[in-house]
Amino acid sequence: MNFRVLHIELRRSVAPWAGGVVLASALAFLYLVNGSWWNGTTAWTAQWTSLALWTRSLLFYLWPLAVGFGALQGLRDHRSKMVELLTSTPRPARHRAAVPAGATAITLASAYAFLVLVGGVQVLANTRYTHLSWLPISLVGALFLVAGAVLGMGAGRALPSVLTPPLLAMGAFAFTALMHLSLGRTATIDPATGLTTTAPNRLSLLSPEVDEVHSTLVTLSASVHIGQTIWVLGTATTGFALLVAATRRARLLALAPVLAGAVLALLVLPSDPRRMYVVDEAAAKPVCDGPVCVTTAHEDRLADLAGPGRKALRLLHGALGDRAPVSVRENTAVQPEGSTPRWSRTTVLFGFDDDIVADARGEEQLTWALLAKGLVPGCAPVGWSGFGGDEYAQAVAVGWVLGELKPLPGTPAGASGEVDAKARPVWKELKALPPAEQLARINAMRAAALSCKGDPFDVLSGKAAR
Amino acid sequence: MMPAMSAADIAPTPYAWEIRATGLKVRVGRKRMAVDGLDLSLGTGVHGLLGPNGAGKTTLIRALATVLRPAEGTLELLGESAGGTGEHRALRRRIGYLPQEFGYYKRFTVREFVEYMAWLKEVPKADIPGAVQRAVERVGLADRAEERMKALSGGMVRRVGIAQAIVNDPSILLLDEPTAGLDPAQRLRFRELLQELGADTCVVVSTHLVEDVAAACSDVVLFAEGRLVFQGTPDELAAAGGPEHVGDSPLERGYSALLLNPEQTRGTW
Amino acid sequence: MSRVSVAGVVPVRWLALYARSRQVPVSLASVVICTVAVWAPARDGGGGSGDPRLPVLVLATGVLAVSIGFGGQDLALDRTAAIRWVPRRAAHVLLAGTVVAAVLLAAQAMGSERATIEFVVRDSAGLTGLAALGAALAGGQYAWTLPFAWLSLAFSAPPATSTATRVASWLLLPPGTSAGTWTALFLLVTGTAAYALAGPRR
Repeated sequence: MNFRVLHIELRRSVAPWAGGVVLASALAFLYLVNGSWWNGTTAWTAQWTSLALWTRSLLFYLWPLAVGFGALQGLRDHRSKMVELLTSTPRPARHRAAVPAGATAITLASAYAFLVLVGGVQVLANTRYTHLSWLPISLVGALFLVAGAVLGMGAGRALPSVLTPPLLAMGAFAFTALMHLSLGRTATIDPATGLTTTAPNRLSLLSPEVDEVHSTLVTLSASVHIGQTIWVLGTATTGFALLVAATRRARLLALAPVLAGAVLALLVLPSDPRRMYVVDEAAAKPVCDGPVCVTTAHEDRLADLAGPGRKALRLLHGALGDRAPVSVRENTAVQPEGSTPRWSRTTVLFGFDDDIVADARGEEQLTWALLAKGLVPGCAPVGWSGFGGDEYAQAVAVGWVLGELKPLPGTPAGASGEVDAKARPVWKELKALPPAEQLARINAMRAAALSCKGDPFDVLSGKAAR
Repeated sequence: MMPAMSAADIAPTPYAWEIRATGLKVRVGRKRMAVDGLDLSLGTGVHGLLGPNGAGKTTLIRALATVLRPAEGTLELLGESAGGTGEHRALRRRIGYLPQEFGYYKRFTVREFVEYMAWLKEVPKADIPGAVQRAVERVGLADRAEERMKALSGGMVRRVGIAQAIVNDPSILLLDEPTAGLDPAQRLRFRELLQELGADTCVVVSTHLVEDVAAACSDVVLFAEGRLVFQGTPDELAAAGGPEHVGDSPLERGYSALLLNPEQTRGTW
Repeated sequence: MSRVSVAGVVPVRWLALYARSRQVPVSLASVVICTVAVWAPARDGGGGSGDPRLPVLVLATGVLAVSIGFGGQDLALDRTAAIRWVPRRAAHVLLAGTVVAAVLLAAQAMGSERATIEFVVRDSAGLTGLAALGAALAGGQYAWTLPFAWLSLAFSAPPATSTATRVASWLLLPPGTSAGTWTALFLLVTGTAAYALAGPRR
């Protein structure tokens, strides 16, 4: 490989433009648009896995852009009318094709790596949990970019028309959009709630984009990485073969790798969404301080949690006696979106992204939050948030344990008055009952809340028939 | 029919003629035989290829550059057969070619373009910078070597084309309309360059400009309807014409004498 | 020769030659093909009949295909022509947008009704204006980058709560939303004016 020629192509071909546009537009998008990648524990600067997944999800438009740029490069020989002169040269076509392909690969991979680096520097400052299992996610993403550009180059050379770059870019965009929205998802109706939820299917994994992930513990499984790598290598091989092909027969043969890659990849890729997005075992390992446990990913928050956790357990033991939970744990169960959450009677399960925990300021509010989670954990479907009976029940139950009604964290700004108005009469009525009745009602409410059958607030008000 | 022999041949070459064609037929498109039964032997020196438009000159040059495959007959370049389906890598390293429609990468600078072409012609890596500098200087573009190709005028682009053709010190140099777009002073300089090159290279220049042939070529090949009509020195061509033939110079008169043959069936326009 | 002849005497021939010089036949064919190609597989399995993303994809593909025609063959040659280019270029842009909208509406008439006429008109107008602006800024062959960029932005912008997010995702807003309509109108006017007055960049 002649490095002078590579240097020339790095400066004069579409490579620097591709890398520059990819990097600049990605950074502009992340920083100028105030999207959900800045919020909570799954922010792109909060954790390594979240960083990898968010930068990977940018590929929904970066990959089509790479394909379009590749097509622009592939048109170059035809537009410059260099074909005749190039045919008379001794250097074989594969050497000639390798140089711009290599230059573009270098710049695209570097741009993507720099993007990840920009986030990585902030992640280093924000978390103490470092691991390397996020690397395959970003590596496959970079491979997607490079293979897309090479495929675009091959297609541009095979179809040397001015229409090729925009239509190819648009086609790739339509591919990622459709895989994300309709063709790549299967809809299921949950018989319990009657809600229609969609889950990604096997075909959607052929697109570089990943689903929005709501938990720091979720990552892509190894079979996904392997399958996508096979697919990507197939597209890259086809692209390069198209770049080198001289006859029509060779061009038709060049389509074989991408088809073979698709078939092989679909065989390897998992079809069950639960095997696509799996729990990262190492990150989910519990780290405990007595009865209070968090995941290894959030180890740095254990110290703040230990005191309020123990206090909440003590209060619950005092209030509920034998039926009180005995430990506080971060919830590591990853359930499909839209399903009913599952709770435990003996453990207070919480998540750092729950509104009530995320908005808690100071030890006291954190204690109240854990109390609320132990009494009425909340039955909104996974991934959805709402405000209603569960929150009123929380206010009343926490007020019963503490002896007075407290404003709980996580209440939206305008709603605190409404909560008070609804909760106070029920709380007063509860306090007026004899202590055994109070305990019975609280236990019934807790049973309803933990099993998610029935409205806990109705039970507290005494409306629900036994 | 004696080719111009140079006394500067150092080592005896294993072949008698650089270019040797016997009964060569080359097809263009689907049906038309643009080169129809050509017998030609060309050695060292500058050979001018003259002929009317559509005679097949460009097709012949393309076949000599191994861009087109001969349909029938034999073609030997530098002693090797150029008719097969192989890649002819070794052969192509010693050929320099400037097509009639010279395409180039507009964004490259002059030096970068010639360097890229040198790499494509498999010039040894260490020799590339020196060869590029020599080529660029020989065509007189040394002061504009860092400018982008799209900023150059038509004549300068043509000179870059000549530079890329000579960068690998070829044994066969094929130039199709090399003086298109050059001003008279540049054409004079170009003729000197041709004479330098003709000392040890087989140069084939296809041109319409008879003065270029007169001044620079040691040998003239007249081509019409895919066949050889005349091969000889410019003086011999001039001697073939008389005052009754159309032309402003002896060479033009000789040209019309040989081509405006009553047996011709096609027009000469 | 007939291109420079008195306009109005043989307008059809002039139009045919102009269309060929702007690569209209290929663009038109690709608009129709792409509409069918994107429309057909996702017609029934869409994300609900209210999902505007699919029609937007189809419209964007069509606009990108016709945006190639904004380039012209040889700028220097065009500039020496004796006819007035400004109104013709403006007409070209508006016609291109109309054709794209018409093709989608025709496809919808044959299949399921998904997007209203106001939606299609608004989106195609704004996208065509963007493409014309791109042609004026970057030349005919890169004109598609501007509508593509905004399309990407619209598909991934956060929910339309503030004015800024509404402008960013104007392509997907329901018809009748003022932010969407004004943005589309602004883009159409700016793009057509820029392209008509300045012509494609070389």
